[in-house]
Amino acid sequence: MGEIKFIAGLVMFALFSIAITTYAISFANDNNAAVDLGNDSKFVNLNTQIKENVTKFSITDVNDSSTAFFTSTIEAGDETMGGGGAFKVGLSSVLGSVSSLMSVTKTYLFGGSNLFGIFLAAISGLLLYTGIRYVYKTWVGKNPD
Amino acid sequence: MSLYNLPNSTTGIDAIIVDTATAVPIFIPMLLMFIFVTVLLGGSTAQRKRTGFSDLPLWSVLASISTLMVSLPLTLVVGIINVLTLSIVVVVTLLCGLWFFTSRNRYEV
Repeated sequence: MGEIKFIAGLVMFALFSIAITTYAISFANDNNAAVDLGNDSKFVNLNTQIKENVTKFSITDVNDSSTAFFTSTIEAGDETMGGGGAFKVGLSSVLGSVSSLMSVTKTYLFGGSNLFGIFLAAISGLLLYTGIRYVYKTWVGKNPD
Repeated sequence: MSLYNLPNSTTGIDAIIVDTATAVPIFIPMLLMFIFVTVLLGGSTAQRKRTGFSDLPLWSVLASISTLMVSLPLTLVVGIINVLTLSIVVVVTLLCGLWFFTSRNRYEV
C-alpha cells in the first residue's frame, strides 16, 4: 500500500466513523429512542474530534501544503527543473471545477445541508492532496503510481 | 419456583421480547453475535466458492453494519438492549471499517 492509498484509506475511515456515529446518534434523536448513544459523552467527543481532524486535514493542512508546494523549488538536475512549473500547471485550476461540482451537489443532492459539507470538503481536499503527490512524484522523477 | 417466568403475551410482541431479554440478559448480545458471524462467514464462504478468494475485511464491514442496523431498532424500547451493548456494536463497526479501509486488496500492488 502506497502513501497515497494509505492517506486516502485513513480519510475514508474518518468519514466512515463520522457517518456511523452520526447516524446512530441521529437515529436516537429522530425516534426518541430509549437507549441513546448521544448520552454517552465518549461517542459525542469521538464524533466531534474526528470532524475536527478531517476539517483540519481537508482545509488547513491541504491548503497550507498546496500553497507551499506551488511555491517550492528543488535543485535542478539533468531531467529535473528547479521550479517544476510545467508539472504544476493545471492542478489548481482543474480542481476548481470539482469544487464547483461539489457546491452544486451539496445544493441539489443534499438539500444544502451543512451536515454533508464535511464530506464534500474532505473529498475535495483529498483530491488536491492526491494531485499534489502525483505532481511531486512526476516532478522529481519517481514513479507517480 | 419456576426457572423461567413466561412472558405476558397479551401485552404485545415487544413485551415478549423485553421479558425474554430481562430473563436472559445474554440473549440480545448473542443474537447480535449470531447475525454478525452468519453474515461474515456466509458471505466470505460464498465469495470464496465463486471467486476462489474471500475478502474478509469487506465482509466484516458488511456484517458489522448489518448488526448495527438490527441493533438500532432494538433501542426504541426500554429493556431490550443497553447502551453498553450498542456501544460495543458501534466500536466493532468502526474497527471493521479501519481494517477495511487500510487493508490491501489482492489485486493491488
